[in-house]
Amino acid sequence: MPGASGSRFWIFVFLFPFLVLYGGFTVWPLLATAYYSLFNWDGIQPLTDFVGLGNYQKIWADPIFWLALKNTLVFAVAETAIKLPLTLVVAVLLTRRWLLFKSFFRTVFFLPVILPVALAGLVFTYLLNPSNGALNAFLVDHNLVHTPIDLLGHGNTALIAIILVATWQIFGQYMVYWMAALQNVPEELYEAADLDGAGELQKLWHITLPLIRPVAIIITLLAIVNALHVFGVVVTLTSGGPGQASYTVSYFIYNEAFSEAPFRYGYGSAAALLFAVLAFVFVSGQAVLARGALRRRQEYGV
Amino acid sequence: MGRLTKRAAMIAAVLGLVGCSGGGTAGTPPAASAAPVTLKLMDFSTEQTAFHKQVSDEYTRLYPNVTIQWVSIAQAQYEQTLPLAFQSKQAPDIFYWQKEGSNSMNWLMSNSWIGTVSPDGKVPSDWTKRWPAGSFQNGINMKNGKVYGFPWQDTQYWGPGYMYLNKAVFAQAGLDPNQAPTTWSQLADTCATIKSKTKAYCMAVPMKGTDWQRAWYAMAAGNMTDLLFDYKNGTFDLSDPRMLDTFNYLKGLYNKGYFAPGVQDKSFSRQQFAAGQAGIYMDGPWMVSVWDQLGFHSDGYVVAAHPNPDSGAAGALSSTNSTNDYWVSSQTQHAADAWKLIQWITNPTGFFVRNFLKNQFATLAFADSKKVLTDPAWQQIFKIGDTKGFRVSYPDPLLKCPALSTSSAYTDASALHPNWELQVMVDAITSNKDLKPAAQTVVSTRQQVLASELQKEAASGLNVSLSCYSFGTNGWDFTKSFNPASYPKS
Amino acid sequence: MAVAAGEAGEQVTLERPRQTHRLKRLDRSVYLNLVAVPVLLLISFFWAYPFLWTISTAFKTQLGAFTAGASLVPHPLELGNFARAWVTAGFSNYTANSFIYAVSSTLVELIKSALCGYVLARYRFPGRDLLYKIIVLTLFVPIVSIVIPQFVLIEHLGLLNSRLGVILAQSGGAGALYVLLFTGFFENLPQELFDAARVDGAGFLQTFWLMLPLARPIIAVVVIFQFVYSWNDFTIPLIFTLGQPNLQNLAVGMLYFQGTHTFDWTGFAAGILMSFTPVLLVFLAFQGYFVRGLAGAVKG
Repeated sequence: MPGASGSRFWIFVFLFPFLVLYGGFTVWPLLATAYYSLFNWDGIQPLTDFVGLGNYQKIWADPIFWLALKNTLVFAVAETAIKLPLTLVVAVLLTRRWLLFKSFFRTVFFLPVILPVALAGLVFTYLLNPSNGALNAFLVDHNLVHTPIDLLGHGNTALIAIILVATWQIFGQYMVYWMAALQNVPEELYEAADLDGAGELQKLWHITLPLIRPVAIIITLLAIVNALHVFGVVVTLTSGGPGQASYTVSYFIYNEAFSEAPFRYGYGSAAALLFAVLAFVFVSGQAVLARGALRRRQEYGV
Repeated sequence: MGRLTKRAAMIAAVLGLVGCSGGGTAGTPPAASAAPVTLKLMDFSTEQTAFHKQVSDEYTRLYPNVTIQWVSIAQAQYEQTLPLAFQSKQAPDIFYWQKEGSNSMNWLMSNSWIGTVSPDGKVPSDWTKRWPAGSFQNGINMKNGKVYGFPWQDTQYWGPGYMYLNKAVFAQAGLDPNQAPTTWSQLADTCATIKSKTKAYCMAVPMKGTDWQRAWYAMAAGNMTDLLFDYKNGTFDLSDPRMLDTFNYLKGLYNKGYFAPGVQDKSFSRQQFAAGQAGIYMDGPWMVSVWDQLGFHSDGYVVAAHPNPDSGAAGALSSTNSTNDYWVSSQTQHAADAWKLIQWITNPTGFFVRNFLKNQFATLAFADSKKVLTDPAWQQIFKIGDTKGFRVSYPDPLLKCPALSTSSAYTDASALHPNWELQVMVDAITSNKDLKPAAQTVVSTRQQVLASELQKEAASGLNVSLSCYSFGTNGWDFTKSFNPASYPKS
Repeated sequence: MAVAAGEAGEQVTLERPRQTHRLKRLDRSVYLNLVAVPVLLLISFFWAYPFLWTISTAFKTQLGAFTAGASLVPHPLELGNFARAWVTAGFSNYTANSFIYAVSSTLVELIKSALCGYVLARYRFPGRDLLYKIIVLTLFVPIVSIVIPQFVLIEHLGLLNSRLGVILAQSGGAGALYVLLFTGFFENLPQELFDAARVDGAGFLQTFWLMLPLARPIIAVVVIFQFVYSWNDFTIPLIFTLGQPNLQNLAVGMLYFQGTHTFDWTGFAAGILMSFTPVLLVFLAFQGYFVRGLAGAVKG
C-alpha cells in the first residue's frame, strides 16, 4: 500500500474539505446537542439551568417515549424488509439491456422522491380517506370490501399506512442506490450465465448479490438508519395519531421539544442522543445476529 | 434668564407642533424622523399578504419617507426563526407573539424582546379609549404604568363555540336550519334524522393533530368550561365527571355513526361541510372568510350557538385579555415611527380597520366590527356572541398573584406532552376505550408537576401557591363573568 | 453465409451457434418485453397516480379538488392557480437562488465526498478506522436539533444573510452517507486497475483522476440526491437569510401557501408542479449514467 510522504500530503489535501465541513456542520452540532442535553433550555435564555442527567431520567421514565420507540423499531424493520428487496429487484429489472422504455420507468419510480413530504401526506390523506377516497372507491366498487376501510382512523392500521406510504416515497432513492451498485457487475457475467442456462433468480443470487456485497452492506445500513429517523410522513399523514398511536421517536422529539414555546431543547437533545444510542445498539445487534447466522450457514455448508 | 426660557419654550412648542404633524393624536413627544425609514413587521398571517401590501402602499403615500416591510411566514417556521432573529440582532420593529396567552408580556420581557409601545411608555387617553374599559391591565399589557401591548382581536365574538348548519343538508332531511338544536338530545335527534333521510354525514368533526379541540371546546363549554384547567378549583380538569360526561356524549354520537368517518384534519372537514357532505361543523367565526375562499357563502349556512346539556347551560366559553398580539421590539431603531404606525393602524375609522374588516380576517378589539361586517353570517355571530352567558370573562391567576409573572410552574405542567388531553381523547374515541383512566393519568401527572414546582418556587421566596389558581373562594362559577374588583388589591 | 470447405466448414460450425444464439436472444428479449412492459405500465399508473392527482389538483378549484374524490378530471377547470402560485411563492425572486444553492452545494458535496471516499478506501493512515467509525456513528443521531449550533457557527463566521453561508450549511450536513458510498465503491475496484496505473508511472493525483470516471454511477447518485435535497430544503435557506429575504429559495416560497386558517392546496400543487421541473430534468440527465458499467474498464 502506498505510504510515501508524497502520498501523505495528498491524503491530507483530499481529507481536508470533508473534515472541515463535516467537523463544523455535523460534529460540532452533535457535541453541542450533547451539551444542551444536560440543561433545561428554551433556546432563548442563556444556558443556565444545569440538570445533569435529569432529562435522560425523565425520558427513560416516560411511557410515551417507549411507545414511540416501539413504533419506530417496528416501522424500521418492516419498511426496510419491504423496500430493500423490492427496490433491488426493480433496479435489476430497469438495468437490463433488453428492456424498452427504461428511462420512462425509472423516472416514474423516482417521482415520489422529488415530491415534498407535505404534499405526499396531503395526497394520501385524500386518497385513503373512508368518505370519498380513491382507494376505498376502488375497493368497494370491485366488491373487495363491504365497508370502506379506515386505515388512518385506527391505531394499528395507521402504522401500516405509514409504512406503505413511506416505502412508496423513498422507493426511488434506493432504486437509484442499487442501480449504482449494479454497475459493479459486468454484463459479460450475466451473458455467460445465460449461456449456461441460468434462470433470473439464480443470476441474482449467485452473481449479483455477491458482487455488490460491500456496497449492499452500506445501502442496508443507510436504509435502516433512515427508516429509524422517519418524520415527515408521520407529521403530514397522521400527526402521530390517532391519539399517539403512530408516534415515532423523531415525532416525539419534535412534539415535546419544538412544537410549543417555550421550547425544550435540552429535553429534545437528550431524547435524540438516547435514541441514537438505542438505535445503534439495535442495529449492531442485528448485524451480530446476521453475521452469526451467516457463519453458521457456512459451517453447515448451506 | 426669563427671556431665554421663554424662547426655549417657544422653540419647544414649535418642535412639538412639527412632531404632531403625523399621527393624528395630540402629545406624541419625540418627533418621528423625516429621514427615510424602513419599518419591518413580522407575523404568520400569510393569507393577509396582499392586504399588507395595500397597507404599506397607503402608508407610504401618506408618509413618503416611511417604507413598511411586512413579512409573513408559516406559523411553525415563524416560531422557530423569530428567536434566531433576536439572537442575531436582526429582529423586526414590530412582531406578533401570543403563545403564552396573558403571560406573553412577562415572557417577552424576560427575554428582553420588547420595548414600550410608545417611546416613553405613556399613551394618551384618547388612544386607550378605542378599547373597552379594562383592556389595559398591569401585568398583562402594562407594567409600572408603562404600556407594552394592546389587545388586537376582540374576545367577545372571536373564539370557538359556534355551530354551523348546512342549509342544503338540513333541507334534505326535512329540518329547518333556523331551528337549530339547542340541547344535547336535540342534537342527537337531528343527527338521527340527517343520517336516515340523507346521504350526508351529520357532523364533520376533525380529529387529526389538535383539531379535535374545535368540537370539544364548543361542547365542553356548555357543561363546565372549554379550558383544560379548572379555574374554580385550581386543578387540571379532564378527569372531572362533567368533562367525562361531555366526552361520553360525543363518543356516543361517534359510535352511532353521526360523525363523518376517518380521522381528518380541519381542512378536510371544512370542505366536507362546504360540499354538502356533512350537515354540522363546529368552529369559530374565522370560518366565514375560510368558506368564502372556497366559494361557499353565507347563503349556504346558518350560524347557531353550541348546544347545551339538557338540564341547561352549566358553563360558558372563556374570554381573557390575552390577545395582546403585536409588540414593539426592543431592537427597533425607530421607536417613534413604530408608535406612529401603531396609532395609524388602530384608528377605528381608518384605512387599516376598514380594509382589514372588509377582508373579514378577524374582529378587532379597537374597532366597531359590527358596523363594517355586514354579511348575514356575521350578524348571526354577533347576535350569538351578545347573548348573555355565551362567553364570560374568566379570572386570571396573574392578576391575583402578580408574582406569577416569573413563575414557570404552570407552563411546565401544561407543556409536558403538549396536547396530551386531545390525544387521549382521540385515542379513546377511535379505539372505543374508556377515557377515565387515561384522563386521570394526564390530570394527576400535570397537577403533580404544577404543585411541586409551585412549592419549590414558594420555598425560594416567590409569593405563589396553588391557591393563585382557584377562584371558587372568590365566589366565581363557570357561568359568571369574573368581577375584576375581586382581585386582591396590589 | 459463405460456405467453403475446410476452414469454411469450421467457420460454419462456429458461426451458426452464435447466429442462432443471437436470434434466440432477440426472441427472448421480445418475449421478456411483452411480459414486462405491460406489467410495468400498469404498476406505473398506480405508482404515479398521486402525482397525476397533484397535476389535476393544480387545475381545480379548492372545493372542486375535494368533491372530485379520485377523479383526475378537473371540473370545473381552474387555470388561475398557476398565476397565483407564481406570485405567492415568489418564483421570479427565488428560482435563481434555488439553482445557485442546488448547483453549488452539489458541487461542494461531490468534491468533498469523492476526495474523502477515495482516500478512505485505498489508503491506510493513522486514524483512518476511527474516522470511518465516527462517520458511521454520526449517521445514527436524528438531526432535529442540529440547526441551532449550525446557526451559531455561521453567525460567528459572519456569513449570515449571505449565499455562501447557505451553501456551506447545505453541503455540510448529510455528506457522511455520500462518503460511505464513495468509499464502498472505490474499495470495490479491482486492485489490477491500480497496479496497472502504478506501472504506467501515475502518481497519486493522476491515479485518482483515472479512477474517478469509473465512479460515474456514484457521482450520479450524489448529484441527484444532493440536488433534490437542496432544492426542497427550506429550513436552512430560511434561517440563514433572516435579514435578507431576497436570498430565500423556492422551497421557502412554498411555505407561503400556509395561512393562519387555511392552506391554499391548489396553489401549492401548482407551485410544486412549476418548481420540480428542473429536478426532474436533472434526474433524466443523470440516470443515463446507470447504463454503462465497468465492463469497458476491466477489458481495457
